[in-house]
Amino acid sequence: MDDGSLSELQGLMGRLADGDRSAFSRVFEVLWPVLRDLTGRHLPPAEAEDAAQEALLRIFRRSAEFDARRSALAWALGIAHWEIRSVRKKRMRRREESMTDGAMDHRSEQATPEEALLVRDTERMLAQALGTLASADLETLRQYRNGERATVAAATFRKRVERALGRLRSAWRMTHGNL
Amino acid sequence: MATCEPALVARARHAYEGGRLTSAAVRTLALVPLPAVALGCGCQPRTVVIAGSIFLAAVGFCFWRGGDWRRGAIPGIAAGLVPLLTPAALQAGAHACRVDHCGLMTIACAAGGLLGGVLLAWLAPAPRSSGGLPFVVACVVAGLAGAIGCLAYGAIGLAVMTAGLAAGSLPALALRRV
Repeated sequence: MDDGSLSELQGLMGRLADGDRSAFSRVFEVLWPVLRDLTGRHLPPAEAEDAAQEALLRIFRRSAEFDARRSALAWALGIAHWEIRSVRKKRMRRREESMTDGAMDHRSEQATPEEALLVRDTERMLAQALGTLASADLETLRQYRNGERATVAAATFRKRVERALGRLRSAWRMTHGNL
Repeated sequence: MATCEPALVARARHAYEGGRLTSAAVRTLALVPLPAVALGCGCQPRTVVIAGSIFLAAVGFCFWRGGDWRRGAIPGIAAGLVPLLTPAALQAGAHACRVDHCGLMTIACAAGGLLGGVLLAWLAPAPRSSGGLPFVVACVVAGLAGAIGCLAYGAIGLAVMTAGLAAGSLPALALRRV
């Protein structure tokens, strides 16, 4: 974005925050490509479009709160970055859930010898990675896998699980390369 | 705009108006204690509730519209506080009287209106700025706020308060050479 567009956006956002509806269309035209580019750089195409739309709607919803003394572009990009982080977190949770479900499905299905070998190999590699973790992390992951209720608050437990999974991922990368 | 998806534009516009409405509602809610003060000071509940609702709706509309409407509403609220609170404070202080023949309350409405008028002339945007809209909005909002405190004393309370607002603001406006 060049300096002209930047100062134009600053003026337009100030007018929009003040309630000048005539600035709406131009703000849309200036912001939409910027948001699409940003989300496109940080997210896969399927998620980028949705994230850009959600960020755009959030910016317009909160435009009455915009303080014209602040940078309009920095404010808008801050909201977009927050949206990108939210999408990434959601994706990570979905992946963790599918990994857990996938592991359970494997046990219940009749596996071919090749699949059984692959599963045994994966389990051996996982055991190696788990072996490097502290006992507290192992206990947290065991509780998480078994769906046991932790004695700590749900938010605290979720944080512990996130940290333990993060360490497990790091350990896996150290011993077996990328996931 | 032609290249943008019309549905997304419509959603964005809807989000914008929704956000403005929420913001206006939150700011208007902060003014709810004003009619509540008049109510707590023994003014007639029915008139306070009606006048208070009209005042809050008008202010909420001005905050939602923004621009000149908001620029007029803020000084209007500040100026209207005087005729709103003067009779209520007097009533709460000691002078409990029958509302239908209480001369002192009418004088309080007139005095509150007069002071509010001076404040209005001092704070409100110049009458000729932006086609006069902010000034008219300020006068209306000040009148509505004052009505919360003075309508309880009948049409005469409202009339003297309005006259006080006009009498207080006109000389000051003339001094501002607008």
